[in-house]
This record gives sequence, C-alpha cells and structure tokens, in this order.
Amino acid sequence: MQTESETAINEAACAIIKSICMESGLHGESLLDPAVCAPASPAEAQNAIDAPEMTLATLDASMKAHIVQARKERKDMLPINRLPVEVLVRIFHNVMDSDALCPATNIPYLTRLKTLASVCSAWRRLVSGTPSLWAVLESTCPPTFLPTVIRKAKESPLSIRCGATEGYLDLDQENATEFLRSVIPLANKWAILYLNPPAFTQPLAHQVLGQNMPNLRKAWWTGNGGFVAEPFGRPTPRLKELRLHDVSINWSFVELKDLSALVLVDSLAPSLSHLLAILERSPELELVELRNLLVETGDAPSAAPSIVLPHLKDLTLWNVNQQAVSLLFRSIHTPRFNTFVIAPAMTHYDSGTFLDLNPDLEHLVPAIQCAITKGKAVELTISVHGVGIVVKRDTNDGCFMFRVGISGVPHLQSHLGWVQSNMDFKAESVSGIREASVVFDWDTRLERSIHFQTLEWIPNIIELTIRAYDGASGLIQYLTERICDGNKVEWRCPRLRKVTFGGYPTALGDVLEFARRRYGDRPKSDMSGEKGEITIHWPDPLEYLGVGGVEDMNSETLEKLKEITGCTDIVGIH
Amino acid sequence: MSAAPQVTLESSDGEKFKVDKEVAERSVLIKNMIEDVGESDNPIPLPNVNASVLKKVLEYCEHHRGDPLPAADADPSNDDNRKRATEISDWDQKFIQVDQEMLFEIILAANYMDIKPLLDVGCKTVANMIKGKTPEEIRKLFNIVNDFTPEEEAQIKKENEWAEDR
Repeated sequence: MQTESETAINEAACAIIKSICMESGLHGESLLDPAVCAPASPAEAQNAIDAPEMTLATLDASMKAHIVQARKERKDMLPINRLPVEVLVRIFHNVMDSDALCPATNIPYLTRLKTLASVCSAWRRLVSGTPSLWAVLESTCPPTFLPTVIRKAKESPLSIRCGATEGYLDLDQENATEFLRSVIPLANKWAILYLNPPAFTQPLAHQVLGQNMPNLRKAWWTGNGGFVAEPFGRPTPRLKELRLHDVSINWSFVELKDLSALVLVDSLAPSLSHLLAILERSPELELVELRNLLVETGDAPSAAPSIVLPHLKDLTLWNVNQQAVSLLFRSIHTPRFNTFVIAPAMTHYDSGTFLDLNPDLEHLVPAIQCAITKGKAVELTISVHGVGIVVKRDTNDGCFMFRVGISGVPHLQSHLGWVQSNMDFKAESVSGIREASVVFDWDTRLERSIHFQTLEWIPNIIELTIRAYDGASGLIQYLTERICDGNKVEWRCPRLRKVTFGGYPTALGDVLEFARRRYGDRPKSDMSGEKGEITIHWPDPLEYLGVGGVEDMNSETLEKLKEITGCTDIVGIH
Repeated sequence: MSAAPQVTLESSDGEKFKVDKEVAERSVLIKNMIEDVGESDNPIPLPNVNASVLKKVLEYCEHHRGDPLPAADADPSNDDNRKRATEISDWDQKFIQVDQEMLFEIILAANYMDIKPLLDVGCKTVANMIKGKTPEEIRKLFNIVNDFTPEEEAQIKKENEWAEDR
C-alpha cells in the first residue's frame, strides 16, 4: 500500500510527464504508437530516436527535482519540523536532563546525545551546532574525546559529573584522575558540579573544591568521609544548591547565601549559629535536609531568630540533636510544607531527657494542615520507631506529596498524640481524602489505647496491613466489634476492603472470627439492611485478604474464608 | 462586587473569545499588547493561533490563573528548579494528553504567545516521548524520514564518529 507521501510523489511525477508531453506536443501514449511515430527518412528516424531520449532525460531531471521538492515540503509539513530551532533545542535539553545535578540514567550522556544526532540530518546538524548540549562533561566520556567535547561546548556553562551513580561502574583510577585533571582548568565555567569520585582520587577532588568557581550554581559532593580544610575558599556568589554527603569541611571558610536547597547528610555540620546565619541569608530556600548530624549548639543564640522562608516546602531533620531541632523549629516560619520529617536524637549536647518539642512546633501546624487540606490520599505507617504519614495530592500523582515522619522520642503515644491533635484529617476543610491506607509495621506491639484509635481519626481507610509483632488478635477483635449508636449498627473502618495479616504468625481462629463477625451475615446485595427497628450499615465487601504465617492454612480453610467473606482474592503468605 | 475586567481575543479563523484579563495576561505577548495599546474594546488578533488551539491554551491559562508568573529572563538551560527536567504535574499531564498534531500546535502557540510554563509542559511532554527510544523508534514516532546518505549512515555507525567537528 502506498503511503501518503508516495502517492503525492507519484501524482507529482504524472503531472510532470503531462506537462512535458504537452510542451513537446506529444502525448504519453503516442510515444509507444508506431503509427504516430513512423519515420519518413533516416534523418527523421534519427530525430525520432533523439527526441524521446532528450525528452526522457528532461523528464528524469524534472521528476528528480520534483521529488526532492515534494520530500522537502513533506518534511516541512511534519509537526515536529514546524517547531522553531530554539524550541527543539529546549526539548533536547529536557531529553538530556542536562540541567540535572546528577545523571538520571545509567546510560552515559554522550551515548544519549548520539541517539538524538542519529535521527536525521537536521537533528544531527542541530546537536552538533548547539554548544550547550555539549556542556555536560561526564567521567564516562572516553578521555580521548574529552578535548573534542570541551571544544564543542565553547563558552557554555559546564556541568561536571564525576564518579559513580546508581548503575554506573566505578571509574578506574587512571580515567578518574585524567578526567579531574582535564576539568580543573575550566573551573571558572563550572555551573554544576557532581563529585562522587573513587576514594583514591579524594586528594584531587579536594583540589577541585578549592578552585575559583564564580559561576557555580549547584554542587553535590559525596566525599567518602574526606575532610577539606578550605572548601569553597573563593566566593561562589551564584551557588543555589549545595549537597554534601559523608564529608567534612571547615565551615568557617564558607560564606553561603541565597541558597534554594541545602542538604547535609552524614557530614560535619556547621555550628547552630552558622547554620541559622545561612538560613537567614537564604530567603529563597525551598529545601532543607539535615540527616545524621550533630549540630554544635554552644554558640546558639539564647532567643530564636525569626527566619521567614516563604518558599520552604521540604524540611527534614533526621537524627539531629534535639536542642538544634528545637531552635530550628522556633526560628523557621513558612506557610506550607510538602515534606516534613523529624527525628530528634538525644546526644551529649542534650540534657539527658527528651524535650517537649510541641511548643516549638506550634507555629508550623498551619503549614502542615495546609498540605493535608490539599490531600487526596493518605498513607500512615506506625512502627515501633515512630509515625510516617504521606499525604498525596492525588492517588496517581507521585510528584506532589506531603510526608511526615516523626521518630526518635521514646513514647510513641506522645507523638501519636501530637499528630492526632495537630493533623486534623476530619476537619471540614479536609474533604478530599478519598482513600487512606494504614500499616502497623514490624516489631510493633499493638495496644488498644495507643494504636487502635488511629483508625478513627483518619477517614476512608481502604487498606490495612498488620505486620505487628503482637496484638493482632486484639485488633481483629476491635474491627469485628459492632458499634451501636441509637438504632444504628455499624463497624469500624466501614470502607476497609483490603486487609493483610502479614509478618508474624496470625491465629487462624482469629482470622476466621474476623471473617465471620464482619462479613459472615452480610447480605450479598444491599449495603444496609433492617432487622426490626435497627438499621445495620454493613462494611464494604472485602476485596483482598492476605494471611501470613499461618501454618495450618490449607486449601480447605481458604475456601471456607472465601465462602464466608464472598472475597475470591484470599492468599496465604509464607 | 464589580466584574473582573475582560478582554476579547480573536483567533486566526475569526473566532472571538472573551476572557478575564488576568487569564489572558498569562501570555506575555497579550500582556505587552494590552500595556502598549491600553484598555480597548477591540479584539486582540492572534493570527498564528486557530480557534481550537486557542481554546485549549485558554483552558490552561484559566487553570493556572493564580500561579506565580515565571521570571521574565528565565532561561531553560539555567533553571534552578530542583525537579527532574521531565516532571509534569498531574493536571498538566492530563491537559496535554492530546494528539501529536495538537501537541505541537500548543507548543507553537505557547511559544508565539510567550506562555513559558505551557511551553515548558509541551517541551517536557515531547521529551518524555523521546526518552529511552532508539533513533529508529524516534523516526517512527514523529514520522521523520531517515535522510542520511549511505556514507553518513556508515559514519554514524562508527563508534563516536559523531563527536568530530563537521
């Protein structure tokens, strides 16, 4: 079958034949008609041979030109070819993630660039002639090509990516050293710096950080425990995003300001006053993530400064000494969170007791509640270590979510209490929570007074997973109790449809009891029914039941559970 | 309460759209035109955008009417946004689920009308379509003809040949 373009080309060829034949006074069919073409003399016979040959040559040339033109027109008509060059370049930058701080894929940058350049000649010319697309220098680039890549990048700000990321093979010593030596002279053009070099190149990496980097915008350094005495020794006025992992630096050398993201993990932290000064000098901060840090509080101000960070969405203070957490909470003011994770740690800086952080957090509660108000789905995980809450704006949307993690303080009851009193999922303004799932995680010992009530303050629980070490039996009992309210009878978590009793052995008798008492008498069609004057609101039908660690679960028991509950998706988990 | 000021936009095929000025001014082109011409009852002509595309563009502007406007000098290659380059919000993803012809029309309109966030969504969507595909798959996706000569083809096959200057 002909494609549209082939049809167009054929039609164009026919049009050319017709027009040439018209011009020469011939008709296509007459060329083959001996009666029309019979020569009267040898000269005429020669003419009869020459004329069609010339005509055919003209025809051939015209047709080829027409085909070229038709192809060009067809190419120009393609939607993607109608895009202006600058828009196509923008798309290419998005494909290449060229502005990302670290690679998003384990396919080397230049290999991906080659893919774009191999599509057609126009894309090839565009890739080849766009310096900014060549401005990402990865240590995966063969050393012999590095000078070419640098030359093609011209004066574009450079992204330097050196070292292992997920999926990458570690560099060998020779390549890593050669790469770092090649890029150090270009430090004044660095815009993005990702450094996770092999341990043996650390001295060279430290030399990298000591360079004059006036155009540096983002930096991510994983240092394998290294120490740099004089990092960022010269001004980095454009630095917006700083991530330090497993590294120690002498903070007295660092004058950071106007940051949008600050991430310090497993590293030597600045003192609390130094940290507060960075926050104060960075009103555009969007992300602060401090993990496994000991922040020296000796020089902390006695009164918390008021630091307004209107754009701060993500705050994580995980395993940070509680004195520092307390003062940071009191200092930071922001209208809304996407991420809020805390796990205060008790260290030798603290007085030996856990602080009550609730007063310090009070002014941040509206920022937390604001995120809940916009939520559509909730995931709550309660473990022996703490509480984790994820509020998603939409069930299919992974991009925007609000996370809360609270851990590290000794009494789960106290922080569950804090969560319950400060995160109001049932407020009138919170009408959007359509689905919730609750997990009682490993090693948890379920207690009615602490854990079960959480099932009442989160609406629309659809899914419940119990991996608790102890207390599952009590929870089953709790879920099968009928609640009588006047002439109304109902069950707890009425929308519960998916239940997993996983982890530690569950008594089969409890599971059967759960099935019988919650679903056994349920009419197959109606959601509610009347028995005398009492209205019964039956729970939603069960869609999934997973039962773990039950040794005497056999096919007969499975069938029995299916019969009682009406649920066909019941599995024994080993 | 007084009604929000409105403006009328006229598409290339003559259809008129009356919209809130705040919505229309998501387009820097329109914002500048209003500033230059001043308040007027005359429709603002958009000769490069037909009615079906303009309707779609206005749907986007309406949904994002309250969003902060991007900086005028925002440069995609100098973007400090921490999100991955190809992340698109849920609503925008649904909005941009259109056929390829319309997708490129929206990109062209966003570029012409200078609506950077919409241009960004369009470019990211096309980028996501390209990511992870082979050259042949990309050609097939966009109906692009492989116009390399056999010699060029052979060159491309040579490892890293492409890195050389042309």
